[in-house]
Amino acid sequence: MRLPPLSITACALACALGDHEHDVRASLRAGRSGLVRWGADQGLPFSTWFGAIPDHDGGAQRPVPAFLRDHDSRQARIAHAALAPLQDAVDDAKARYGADRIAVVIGTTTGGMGDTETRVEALRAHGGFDDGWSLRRQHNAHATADGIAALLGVAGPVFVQSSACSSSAKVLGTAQRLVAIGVVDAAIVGGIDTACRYTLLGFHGLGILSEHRCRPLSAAREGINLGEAAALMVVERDDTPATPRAWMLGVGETSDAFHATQPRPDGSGLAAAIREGLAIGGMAADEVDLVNAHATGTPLNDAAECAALADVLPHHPPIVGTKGWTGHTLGAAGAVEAVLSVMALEDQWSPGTLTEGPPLAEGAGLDLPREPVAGPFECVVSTSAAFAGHNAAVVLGRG
Amino acid sequence: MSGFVTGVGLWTATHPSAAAWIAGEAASSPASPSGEGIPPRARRRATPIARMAADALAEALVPTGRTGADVDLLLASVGGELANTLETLRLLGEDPPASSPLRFGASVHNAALGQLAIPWENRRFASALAARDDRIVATGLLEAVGRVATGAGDAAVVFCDEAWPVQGGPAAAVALVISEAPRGDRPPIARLGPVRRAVASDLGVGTADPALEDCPVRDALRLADALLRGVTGVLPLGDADADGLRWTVSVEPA
Repeated sequence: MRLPPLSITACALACALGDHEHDVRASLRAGRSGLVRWGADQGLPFSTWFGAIPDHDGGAQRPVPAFLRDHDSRQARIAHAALAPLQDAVDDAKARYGADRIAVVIGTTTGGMGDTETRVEALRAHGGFDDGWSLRRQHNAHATADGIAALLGVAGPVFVQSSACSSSAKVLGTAQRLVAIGVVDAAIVGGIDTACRYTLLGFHGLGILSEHRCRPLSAAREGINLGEAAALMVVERDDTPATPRAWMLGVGETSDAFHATQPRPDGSGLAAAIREGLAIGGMAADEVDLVNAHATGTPLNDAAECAALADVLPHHPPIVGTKGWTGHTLGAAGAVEAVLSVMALEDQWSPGTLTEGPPLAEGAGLDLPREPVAGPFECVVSTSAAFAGHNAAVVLGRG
Repeated sequence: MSGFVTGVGLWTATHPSAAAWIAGEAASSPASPSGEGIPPRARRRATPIARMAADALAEALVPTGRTGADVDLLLASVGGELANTLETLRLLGEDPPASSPLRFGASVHNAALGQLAIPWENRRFASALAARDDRIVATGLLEAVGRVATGAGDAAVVFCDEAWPVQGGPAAAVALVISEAPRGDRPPIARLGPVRRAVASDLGVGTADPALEDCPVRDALRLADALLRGVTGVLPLGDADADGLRWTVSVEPA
């Protein structure tokens, strides 16, 4: 079923490329990756590359306001610091619709994990957290959304999508449905995931964390580099008087039903998600001008994704992967790449894929640029895939 | 915004089915979820969350004539795989780190959905949600009704939390199948009206066991109790704020 689009009226982005959107844009234009080497200095028993938020203005170090101290965690501080660019749009939306007509739907996998892991010894030794640390208010995934809702003073539905690496692509679909069925008029959506040993050691244990810079969409790809990010958007019903930065046209969401941590090799699950997203958005496949691919740099993901894109988009629009610039920001990745897609639609410019080595064989015939790409871009598709086989494809249109 | 509840399933350690719940038959000793809805080969690796979700979903699907392959799957859980996550963190804190790839993969919030969707060959929409105790049922219902009302077909939502190692209550799972129109050869159980913040009074539904009042998904048990007993009205979900408002769902005759 075709659904009304959402107007994206504000964005905020903090990632390895910068802690504000203008820094991100400047880094991309200058060709500066945000990835840095991590290893023993960060307490890791191996070496890798990581995309850490640079924290130029110390936002991640500043405690959250006193009334939010119950939610305090590094993730909450990063959320707090990242939210500033949304404030005017949120205030306008509250005045326009009322605070109870605005939802908060956030994608995250880590929640307060980075802080919890420093307290696990206390849990083992004492059977509890001896400093008042709260699973409900600080650790659990939903704590991030609760803190954002309190900070922004909105009173609509508040919840989290925690569907691994497609979490914050799926939040856009949730927001579109909540508006379509009349529950809310606007939503604050996005994704936040922050550095922790849990994900670094976990992905290393799976054998898919690269010790080199990641090489997405390359025959020489050997795994991912992780990163952290907060990417947030204000989305509103389509008759909002606010000027859209871009349109969120539709989100397709499917399951692979194949493997807990590996994609279906033929890419058919992701292909179905792209088709569904286009149908919801009322777009034809040949209207897609650019793809911001999931492109993690693992052998399995990139091969399956190329199969999906070759199947659904036979006119071969340019396909770029941005994780060589930002790292794979897990639960935030879908929103990071949605905001980068909004920027591409506005600027009519996209970075190419930052990678090394010859193009992957499975991408033969596809357009996989490594240099920046100029428009015209009227429609961009951003793809996401996740553990448990949860796929999402976000379709965005020019504002 | 509305949908028909066409199936209800339930699992707690003392009432391992909706049938046992409505009969008031508490098990003499606490049971573990069987996970019988998961094929045996996959069941061995299924987490407790996946097993109790499977038990509740299997029961909810029976009257609908649907299988686990042809409904959207939604998991709404306050803590998700919390016990597994904390144990993973403990093992990762050892020198050298001792967690296994399998344990890590099974510790993410949506792992249980994969453990169900893969053996059921469900290739449809699936989402794992998290929210505060007093919002988890309202937001899970909104996501499910949002799918149904926008033409996606039937949605099965399971509200599910395991017993937390600390700071939590007992485990429970409640599954609802929500449909745009009646399904199967049985009449719908109820019609769901608006899910919204409102003033609501106690409808006299409960959780059967006082210990379950500490369960993170206790409001799902209350909703199941209302549906199974044919109680209609505006059901409160969670605590009232300073203005007396709380999340509610209107349970209406089908």
